Amino acid sequence: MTLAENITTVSDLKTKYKVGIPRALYYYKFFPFWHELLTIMGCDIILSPPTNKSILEEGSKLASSEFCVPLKIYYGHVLWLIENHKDLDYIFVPRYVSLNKYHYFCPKFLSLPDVVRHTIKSPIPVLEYEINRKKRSNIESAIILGEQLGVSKEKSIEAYLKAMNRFNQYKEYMQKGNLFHDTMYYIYPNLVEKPKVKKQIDGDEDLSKQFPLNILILGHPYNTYDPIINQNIIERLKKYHVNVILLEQVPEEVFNQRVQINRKFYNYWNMEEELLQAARYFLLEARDKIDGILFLISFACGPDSLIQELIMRDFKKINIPFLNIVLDEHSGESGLVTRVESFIDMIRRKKYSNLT
Amino acid sequence: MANKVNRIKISFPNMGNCWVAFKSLIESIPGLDVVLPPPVNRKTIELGAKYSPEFVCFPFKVNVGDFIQTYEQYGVKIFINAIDCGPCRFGFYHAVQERILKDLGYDLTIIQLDQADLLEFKWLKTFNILHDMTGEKNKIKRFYNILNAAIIFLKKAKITADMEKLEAYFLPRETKKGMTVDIMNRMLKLLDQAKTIKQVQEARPKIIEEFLKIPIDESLNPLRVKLTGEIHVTLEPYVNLDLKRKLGSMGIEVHQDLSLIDWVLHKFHINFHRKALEEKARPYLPLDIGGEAQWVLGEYIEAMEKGLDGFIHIYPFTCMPENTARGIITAMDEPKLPVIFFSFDEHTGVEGMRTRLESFVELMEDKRRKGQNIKPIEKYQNHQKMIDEIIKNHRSTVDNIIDIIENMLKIGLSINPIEALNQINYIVNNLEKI
Repeated sequence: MTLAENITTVSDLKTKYKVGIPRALYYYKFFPFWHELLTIMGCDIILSPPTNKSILEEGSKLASSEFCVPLKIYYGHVLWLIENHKDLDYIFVPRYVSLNKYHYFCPKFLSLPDVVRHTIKSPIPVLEYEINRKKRSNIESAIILGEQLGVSKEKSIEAYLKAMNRFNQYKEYMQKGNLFHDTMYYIYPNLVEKPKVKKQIDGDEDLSKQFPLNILILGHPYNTYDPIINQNIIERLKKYHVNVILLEQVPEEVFNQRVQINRKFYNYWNMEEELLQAARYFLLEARDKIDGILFLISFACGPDSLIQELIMRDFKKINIPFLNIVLDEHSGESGLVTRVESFIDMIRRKKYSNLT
Repeated sequence: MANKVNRIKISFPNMGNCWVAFKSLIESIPGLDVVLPPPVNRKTIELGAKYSPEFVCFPFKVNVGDFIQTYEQYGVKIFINAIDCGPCRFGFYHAVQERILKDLGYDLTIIQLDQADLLEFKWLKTFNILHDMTGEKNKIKRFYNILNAAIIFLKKAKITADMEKLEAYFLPRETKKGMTVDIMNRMLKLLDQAKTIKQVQEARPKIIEEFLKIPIDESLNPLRVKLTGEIHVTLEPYVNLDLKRKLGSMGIEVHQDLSLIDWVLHKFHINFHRKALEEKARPYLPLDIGGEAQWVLGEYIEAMEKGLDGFIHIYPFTCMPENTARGIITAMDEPKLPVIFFSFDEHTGVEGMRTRLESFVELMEDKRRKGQNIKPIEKYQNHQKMIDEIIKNHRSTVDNIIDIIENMLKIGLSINPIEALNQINYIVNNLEKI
């Protein structure tokens, strides 16, 4: 069975609810899981469109100016759903508290449903899905979600197991180096639009082709994959013939051991754990596999402000170039392009200088 | 015998008046000399902002400044900083700070004081490290030191909180300007001089007596404002541009429940006031998301019920939990209190804040003149009652709770089961009193 086969579609089932999912934040990480879970529970899924300027503007207007861009964009997507789909039965807002006993998500994820209810004041009820392994198992969480939709316990458990299966398949597929947007189109051609194929330009194309580079991109999936937030950075890097390494392509076993900081205490943030584990892998075992690191950090991101500092200091010691790109709604395209270009040039010159 | 013990200089970052309690917590272990960091000043903030990550929260930067200044001025190489492995950034402070400072060439250690859940007794680890440093091996002596330290810490923290309440009460009413602040500063020093449990108990009536010497204008009916927010920013006057005293000198009575003892009791799971606040906030925010977010929401609702004139919420710039709370407060439908938010970082200026504060005060005055308060002012009695209790030196609920904690500690640390049984009996008796 391949990833795109046997997708549960609503036509197989008696649809009961129309559920909107904002295409922001952990859409970029957990969507295949949510899709399978909700469709088996009998929901028809409406996805908000890819982020555009008006969604960003609407979101920034409502959100506190001190929030990070991804959250402002989330506000925008929720507003879009409220505006354009008045017939929705629910808006699906997960509350990710912890995926295991040791970790928390960022406080902004902990309060996401409350924010949608009380700050955005959504007239459409919120379908809350709380994942809190400190309190209950994942199956219990799925049952609680099922109860809100009037689904029996057995059905909920079945949905959870199938969704988990689908999610694992998806992760395997991504590990082979497939890009997120292509994968999404491959699995959900009816929900997601076809990614645009960019023409290869640049005069010195052939020249840079002879000198390939491997650049690791560290950052939250919603920063890495949302082209509005990051000014399409992955496409840009490909244009410069850079081999982009993303978190999804790091071997699975890297993510097994917990990260200890300063030999003193264990990290307690979930997403940051992955960043730290990947960083540790490239720091200790796979140093020669990368030529440089790009860290995408959204302005006012709490956890990253500290994690980034630690990772930067580590890579400085072993002399791997590190570029920190701060993303916010005001960041212009040209500034980013200049910085990335000079970063790439610098690494390329350094790496191949003894050849010429 | 005295020369067996190594004398070690040790310090901790600033947080308003909390130094009195923290100092005695560490000083109660023989062999440790507490060196207080210089009070937060412009240099502290400059240094902190220079060496910290760009948009980390403000307390982090202030702490870094404190560490550098104490290290450079007094040669202190061992520091203590609290940690809390919750969802907010506070738990990472000590690790990243130590890393940054070591990379800068400062040879220092930051010892973590785990206060995530005080009943898990992880904080004892810190005392073990401290005892190992002084070379104290006798277990009974160690036990005695810890117990002594914890009890004096709790008592001093409670007295400091009472003094802050008295200060907020007397400041707008004083007829001789400047007297309250002067007494406050002198009494903190007096409290600091009390080194044993007995001396601390004796110091309390003296302190209150001194406060009562302040001549006040009893006819005054000042505006009443709730001040709350993130704990470091709320308690450290240099960071919040001395907001509390500024309000006091404008003739406004500041109500602030947030204090060190309030937090510590919460971490011992017996802060009933906070539990009530959590209940109030639950419809809006059902779980603790770090910082003070949930309690800030609770306090906002409580302030509306009590009929205060206004609500001030202060937090560090980009603080994750407090911003969530702010969003929810701003969007509430209920009849609103005048509310103002201040976020602080190294760029916050005095003038901008004063202008905003003045218009906020005008708004409150206007509302009161027009009689638009949610509830008539006469109904608001609780605060007065609390002040009276402090003045008459009555034992309050909090005092009883501190007694209970003392005894829990004695059990937790006790090796003798018979002693433990006696303590349990004592607690049961005390619970009835509450």
